[in-house]
Amino acid sequence: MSKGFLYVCVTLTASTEQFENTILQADEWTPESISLNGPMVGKTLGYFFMGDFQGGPNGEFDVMIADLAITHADGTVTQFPIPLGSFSWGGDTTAVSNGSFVGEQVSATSGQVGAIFPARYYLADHLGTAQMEFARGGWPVWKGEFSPFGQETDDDSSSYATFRNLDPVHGRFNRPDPYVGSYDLSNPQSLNRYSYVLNNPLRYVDQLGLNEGDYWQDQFGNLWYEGADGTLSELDTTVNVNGNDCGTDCISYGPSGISSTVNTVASSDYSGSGAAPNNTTKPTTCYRPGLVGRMAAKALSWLSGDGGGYLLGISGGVAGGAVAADGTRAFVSDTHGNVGMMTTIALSGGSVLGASASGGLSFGASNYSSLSGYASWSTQAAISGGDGLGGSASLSVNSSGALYTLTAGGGYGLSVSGGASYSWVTPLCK
Amino acid sequence: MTNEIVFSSRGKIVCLRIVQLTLLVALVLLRPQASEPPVSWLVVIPFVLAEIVLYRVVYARLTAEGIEYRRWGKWKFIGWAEVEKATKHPYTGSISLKIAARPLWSRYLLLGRPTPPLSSAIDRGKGAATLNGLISK
Repeated sequence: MSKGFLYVCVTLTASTEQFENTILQADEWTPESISLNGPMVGKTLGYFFMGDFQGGPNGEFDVMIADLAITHADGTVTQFPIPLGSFSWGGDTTAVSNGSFVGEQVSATSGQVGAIFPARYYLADHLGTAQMEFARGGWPVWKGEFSPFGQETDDDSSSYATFRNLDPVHGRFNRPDPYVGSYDLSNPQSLNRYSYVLNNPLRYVDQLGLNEGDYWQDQFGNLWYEGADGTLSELDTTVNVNGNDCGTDCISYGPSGISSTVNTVASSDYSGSGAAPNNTTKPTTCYRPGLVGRMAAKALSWLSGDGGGYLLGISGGVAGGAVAADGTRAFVSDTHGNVGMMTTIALSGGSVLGASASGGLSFGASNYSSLSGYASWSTQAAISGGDGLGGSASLSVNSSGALYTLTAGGGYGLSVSGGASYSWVTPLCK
Repeated sequence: MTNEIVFSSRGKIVCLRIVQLTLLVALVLLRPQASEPPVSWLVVIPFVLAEIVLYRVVYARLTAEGIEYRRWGKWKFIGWAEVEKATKHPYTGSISLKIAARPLWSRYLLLGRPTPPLSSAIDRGKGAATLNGLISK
């Protein structure tokens, strides 16, 4: 094993045995676990300074030992070489102070984190679970042993997915999905609250344990999560355990770097004015349908195709004298199966048959080829009426094509009107 | 009571109320969300106007002394002296009433098309002739 050190430096694929015998020299240093207080949990002791014990001037570090300790994501620290005996150490009081070795334990309290330089690098699997850990020089200092399906063979720990843990052997989470908005009656797989990515791991990845599609990454690489109420939450990967911004000094996103802190920010903070936290702009505005709405959207997407798109929603309006006002709120699909929430406001004139009022559920068809960024004026003609039961029919035409809408519901009177309407489509949230 | 003149029918009005409630629930479910532009709330206006107009539609019957209409499960009476204005829709035959000295929510009523038609019942009672006279004013 004497060539192990060179081997791992070049290929970075050392085995656990090699790393123990070469890097940490476990045969010379007794591996120990130490308990560290809150500020150090989840961090790596990259460098450890000890000073003044060989008679040097006070305030200078006489000895610097690198790569002393490794603090893992769950807060445990392993392979820490402890010198025998007990002694005090001084040095720069702003960096380390009042620290002491006590027997074979290191005690540290809040405020003694100046000597911690987070300079570990992690090689993660597809869920972000650390598989290998490297020191600043690229030396592997820890490597897990895993089965082909991802289970750590030397430990029964499961893969970390932020909100839940995944058992890679059974392909199930250890807890049900905490995000209630991921129910989708049109997809029976979503009703299994323990399943991983709808049992389709070849297509999806769920780093957060919140079902696929409930989070996204913006252009800055920050992860966002949207709750059922539309509240945006940034999963902050750039703060240390004290909540301070440590910028690029923070280790990358993953089980060893992510803080449990979730910065919750109201959607209203991202109205377009002012800078968002971490220089992040809000992701695309979207409409989050409820359970019934998601089913309607799925149905429209399934029905739509090259032959046309469809509309399903509600319409209501009145006509009297020379003015008619109508509104429509409906899911609409284009010829490619894309679905959005369409809002239409129509102001018409020329109610030649008198007054009317009608409202109810609307069904329609369109030949729009795309809903992306759709916002358009249309010329519109409508006829509505009824006596108790009633409804209306309208035709809107613009450069994107024609939209035919039929509303069945309650009505009174009879009117015919024509004018202009303005419609826009908000895309549905993932 | 076979000679009674009624406006619309109980079945139609019940259906209308169910539709009104359904429309209200659907509008709440599809209401604009915070992530949408504030102008989206304009779409609520036509729906509210439609609900107001449809609320005015009532099931009613004609009597010699006036018109009785049913609202919230109770019959209410309008004497001929209270009718300020009566108009008839030119195509559907429904009748709009403006009642004097009533609260705003009960001042304007919409009656369905009378059955049998007023013109055929004028000889059968005083009420049909009186209402016909008010419409002709």
